[in-house]
Amino acid sequence: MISCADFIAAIGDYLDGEVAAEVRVQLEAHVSHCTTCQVVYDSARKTIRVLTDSGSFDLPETAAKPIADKIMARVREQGRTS
Amino acid sequence: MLLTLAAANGNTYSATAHYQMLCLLGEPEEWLDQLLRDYRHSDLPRADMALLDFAVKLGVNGPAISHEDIAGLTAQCCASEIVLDTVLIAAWASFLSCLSTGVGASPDFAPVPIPPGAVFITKAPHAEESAHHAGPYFAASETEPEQFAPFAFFREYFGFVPNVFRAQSRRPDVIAAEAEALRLVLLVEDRLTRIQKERILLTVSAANRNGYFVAVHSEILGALGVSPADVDKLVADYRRADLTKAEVALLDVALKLAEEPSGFGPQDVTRLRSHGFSDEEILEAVVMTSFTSFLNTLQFGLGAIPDFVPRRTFPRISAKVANLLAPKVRPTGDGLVTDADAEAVARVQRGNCDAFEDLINRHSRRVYRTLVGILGNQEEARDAMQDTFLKAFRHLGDFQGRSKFSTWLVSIASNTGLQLLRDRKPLQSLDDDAIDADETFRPRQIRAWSEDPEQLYSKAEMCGLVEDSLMKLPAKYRIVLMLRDIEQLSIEEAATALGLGIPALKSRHLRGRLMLREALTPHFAVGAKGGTA
Repeated sequence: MISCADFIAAIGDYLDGEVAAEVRVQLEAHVSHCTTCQVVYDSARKTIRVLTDSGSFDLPETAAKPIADKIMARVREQGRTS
Repeated sequence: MLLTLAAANGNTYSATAHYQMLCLLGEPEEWLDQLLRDYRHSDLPRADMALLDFAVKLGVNGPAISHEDIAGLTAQCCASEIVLDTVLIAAWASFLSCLSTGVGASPDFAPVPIPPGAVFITKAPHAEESAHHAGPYFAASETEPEQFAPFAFFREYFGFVPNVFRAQSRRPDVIAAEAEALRLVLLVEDRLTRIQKERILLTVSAANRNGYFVAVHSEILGALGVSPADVDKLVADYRRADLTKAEVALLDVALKLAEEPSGFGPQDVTRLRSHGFSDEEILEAVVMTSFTSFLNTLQFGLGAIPDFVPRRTFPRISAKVANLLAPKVRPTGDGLVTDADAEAVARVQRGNCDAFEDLINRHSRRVYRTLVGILGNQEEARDAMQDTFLKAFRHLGDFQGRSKFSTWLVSIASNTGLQLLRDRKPLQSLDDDAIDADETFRPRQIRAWSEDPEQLYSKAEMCGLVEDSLMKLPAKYRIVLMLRDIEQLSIEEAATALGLGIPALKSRHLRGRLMLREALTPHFAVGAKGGTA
């Protein structure tokens, strides 16, 4: 029987669907009766969803364009002198 | 042809299956190995070689096909029936590659390694220089729907007989099979709705730069009640269309499967499951995406002319090498990897500085996020972005394609950010591995989260909460979360970019996710802002 610490150590691969079938059975057996790990697993799953879908630190087009222009000005300058 | 196309698509599953088939048909293994290594030096008759060249070009770079390619085949005495069969085989190979990747199929026999040769990689013809693109390349059928049941089916369910099917008049058996496949895959609403499937067809076709199918499915979505403005948003940037997060995730995953199959994996399926999609729905999305790649390849090969005035046309290959099923193989010891940026990189390396702008436009967001991840400061990240791209430009001559250009660029961004971090705080480093190995992370916040945390806050509030929480994490965890969960880099790509081993990368990724969970729990737990379980 695996412990809560074992479950937490394996939760990353479990969330990504990258555990072997026999390990998955053990993890699911543990989480089926451990409320704490159920909560951690469920909230970790939602954390990934919230993070992936958050659109965090997006660079708006209005900000990206002037930076790209500056870079290209330097690139063309270097291209001419090389 | 199927074996060569599987190799060109970097698809080990299909390569193994067709290698085995050819063995069973009595072909010697040495000859098959030569076909895989370099079919151009395999003693094939000239006409067969021309057909393979055409099939590979169609399979990996469909939009570049032009009237000249068909004329070239005719000059080699290839009859129209043979060219049509070749188009069908290339389309079928696109379907199989996409489907086997999407369902994660393991080879049915001992896997046949695809040699990391360059023969398929530098196929970026200068399509913009081709003079005669206009199709159709084959005579279209004049048959009336009353005379041919599949045409009657198209008229009943789509209101017209699409030119892409009329162009296959020499193979009525195939048209009938395609009509039946369309009925089963698109029209039967087992799991996903018709509109969800049409959205996949539209956005994948747009990514494949297939103006024909964008026109057809824009029209059909309109007939299903989607406004022209919403259709345009789907085509231009579905992330800005008014879709739920689950719907955006569905399209993200479909596009990744179509465009970056080498990066597609269990994490994508997990992502869809986390949005509430059942395995049956996910399978339908995979089949729909594969069928779209089939249809797109078919149209490129037939040159079928649009049935409607296209709502959007795509310039011939210039900024982006169109990539139905990007022939990407994973990095191997000393091999090259194929890369959607290869053409632009090659142009810059040949001295065309302007082509570098394409690379900036494609990757500026990723570079920016990498730098924010390390520096934790958006202003500094914008400045460091310029340094990163200028370093990349200066060193592009040294880039030999052993990793994808994007991975190479992110590693430059990462090194640039780390150097700035060290200059700023000499004691702060991303290199400290001790904590990863020695300390077990113990969750402290054991409060159940609201069933639907996204409903508790507006989109802008959610973004702000996540950004604030990420900023509070140590840089070494934040950067891994940015690359893996926001940028969706594979474990191998993120590890390469950060110069970390895979165990260290995975350890930091897990720690970062758990730390972020701790930070977000007060906002999303049951009872926060009235959330309910």
